[in-house]
Amino acid sequence: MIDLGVNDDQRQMVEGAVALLAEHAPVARLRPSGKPVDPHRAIAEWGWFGVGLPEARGGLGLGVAEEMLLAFEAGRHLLSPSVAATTLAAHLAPEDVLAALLTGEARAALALATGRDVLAFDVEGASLIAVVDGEEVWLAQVSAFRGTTVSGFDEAVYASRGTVDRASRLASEPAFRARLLIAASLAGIARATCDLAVAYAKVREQFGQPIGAFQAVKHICADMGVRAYAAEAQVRMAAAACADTPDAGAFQIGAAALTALRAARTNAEDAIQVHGGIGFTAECEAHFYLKRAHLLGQLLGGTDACRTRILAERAPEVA
Amino acid sequence: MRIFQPPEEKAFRQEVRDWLETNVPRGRRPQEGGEAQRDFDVAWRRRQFDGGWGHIAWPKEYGGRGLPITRQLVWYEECARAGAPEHGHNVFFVALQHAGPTLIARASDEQKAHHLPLILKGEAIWCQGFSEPGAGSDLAAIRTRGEVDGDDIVITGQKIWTSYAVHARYQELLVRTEPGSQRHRGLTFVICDMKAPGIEVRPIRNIAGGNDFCEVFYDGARLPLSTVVGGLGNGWDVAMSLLAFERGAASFPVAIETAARVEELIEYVEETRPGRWRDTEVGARLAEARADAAALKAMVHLLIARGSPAGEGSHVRLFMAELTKRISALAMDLLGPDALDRNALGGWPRRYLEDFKTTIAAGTSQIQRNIIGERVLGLPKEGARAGGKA
Ligand SMILES: Cc1cc2nc3c(=O)[nH]c(=O)nc-3n(C[C@H](O)[C@H](O)[C@H](O)COP(=O)(O)OP(=O)(O)OC[C@H]3O[C@@H](n4cnc5c(N)ncnc54)[C@H](O)[C@@H]3O)c2cc1C
Repeated sequence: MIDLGVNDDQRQMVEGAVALLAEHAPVARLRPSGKPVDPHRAIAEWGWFGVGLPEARGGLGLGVAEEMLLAFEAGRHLLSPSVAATTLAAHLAPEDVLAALLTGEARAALALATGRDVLAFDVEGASLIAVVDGEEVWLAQVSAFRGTTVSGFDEAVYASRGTVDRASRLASEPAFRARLLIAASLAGIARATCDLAVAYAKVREQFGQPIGAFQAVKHICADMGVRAYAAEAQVRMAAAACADTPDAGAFQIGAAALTALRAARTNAEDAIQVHGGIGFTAECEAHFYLKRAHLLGQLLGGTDACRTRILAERAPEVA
Repeated sequence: MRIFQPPEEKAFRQEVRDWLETNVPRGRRPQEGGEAQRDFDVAWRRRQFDGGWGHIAWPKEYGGRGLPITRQLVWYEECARAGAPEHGHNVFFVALQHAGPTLIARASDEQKAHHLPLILKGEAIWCQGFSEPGAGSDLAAIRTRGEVDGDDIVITGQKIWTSYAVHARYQELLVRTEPGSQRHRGLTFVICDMKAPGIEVRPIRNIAGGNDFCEVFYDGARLPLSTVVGGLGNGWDVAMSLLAFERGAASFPVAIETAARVEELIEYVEETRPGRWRDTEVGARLAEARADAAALKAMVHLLIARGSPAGEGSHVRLFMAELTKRISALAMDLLGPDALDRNALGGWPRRYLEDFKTTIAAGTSQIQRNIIGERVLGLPKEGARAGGKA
């Protein structure tokens, strides 16, 4: 029996998260005209990082499914990769720093091992660094990272390039949870960009009618809707397949990564197109989603790695 | 959000598996269409019925098992696993996937008691008489007339693209019963007996070589008024119920069966180009297809979890139709020169041709996009004037 629905508790949790983010992290904050805010503390105080954490570690003891639902919202609201990093770090961090992660006093930054060096995101203010490194994710003190700021592709995130001293690894886990959370954020982006384009297509008028009445536009939106639906369905399937341990869902996570990555990228591209000239401006939110889709996509290894991985998995036998 | 196996489902799955193991037809389904294919499908249907598997979800009183839709999906899964004949390609497709469900939802007790068991026993193949030469995507433009004459309706006109009409005993027939009525008003849904005098069926040859879809001509064919479903003049409403099934749950069998088709291609390429294919263009396409087939199945489960709201089934339908065509096109590229033999690798080249129908029948992909755009996303209809709030 496959149940991809959300239960009442999950629905309430998501509603709570959405209300929190509407207040503390509206996407408009990122616009050139917006007011930069750092919602990390508010997110932590709301309880975000304890949701999927075992009770023994001071968490709520809920599951991967709940973490996935929050990651979906993180994608929709373009939260810093530090939110994913801190979620991962809470599972891996030594007891003495855990409490500070849960309250938001401390946070982790996310980083990507590129093979040559490490790209780190929003390291400023972080005390830990969670490195996505091929098949695993490992945690280190941020002091182990030495790097310099680069001109990040995604300007909503501070990017730096450098190295992390591997000897200072504190803990690690297979990358399954990280990939699931990233895929969920990408699915959130696919949904958000669809909503953005649709909202605009309803109000922008040309030739005496809303542009959404033109099939050329309507059909772009419909395809965006299908991609968002497919991505959301598959990240839910992946979360469901993880049940107790994320690695149980390897195949479904692989499918989710590829599906959500393509959906997020294509939908973000289409959202720019549907907005016309406005879509090319920094004020329109579409480009933030596009850039984040690329950033998150690289954390999954990019399209190619996603393809290779899904071919390497065994297709699931039916139950 | 979970995957679990309640004991009853586990037992059910095992029972299905055991039965299929000894009952799945050994021979392949004849590919050329025609009577051999029909006889194969009829025999398989009868065998399912006799084995107690007439239908998983239909009510018990009509020969079904009365189980939830999720059990129906288990049935599809196990059939795909056992290599049973595909549910998505079958002369009973219309009967099982939309005629039956529409009758269950809208017909009288007498109509249900008569027709549903006939379908499940394999004694009545159904066809669908909706499309006409001048009314395809625009179904409300139909002109075939039904004149009420005493206790009868007298049918005059023409339908087209009627799949399986050559084999069918009954038809879902949509006609204009109110003279001079426009668009969706004045229509009636009748169960047409294809043996009624005055009905002529002419097969049309399709691009895959089959000729199971037909033109149907009605020259004063008389049907008793008792064949009306949902009342005179309510045909549009009944037809919309039907299309909700046709564009919704009717996609489920194919959605479940798709993954097995992708795996078949992966096995083939692994055998024919061991180790060399993963980093090639076809490798990339197979990876995409594998992920898409997984997502397609997930979409079915999401749709069910969300209670199948109106229009949402078109997400599944559209994704399924386009994926089906991508997979068949991929098979053609994998086969190389063998693609020039229609029956190569179990008939993939023929299937490639047949699959062109998936983005046309049951509402073209363009129409599905209109449905998603307007009914799900709430975009304005074409020609909506600026500022209009209606
Ligand atoms: C294999 C097969 C089996 C079928 N079986 C049956 C059956 O059993 N019973 C039955 O009643 N019918 C059946 N059909 C008919 C099917 O429902 C119609 O073919 C379909 O609805 C399209 O109608 P049409 O063929 O008249 O094409 P048209 O409606 O003329 O469409 C031609 C092209 O124009 C596009 N188009 C039309 N209107 C619009 C619009 N508003 N916006 C954008 N694009 C538009 C279409 O997408 C298409 O690309 C079958 C069709 C096929 C191919």
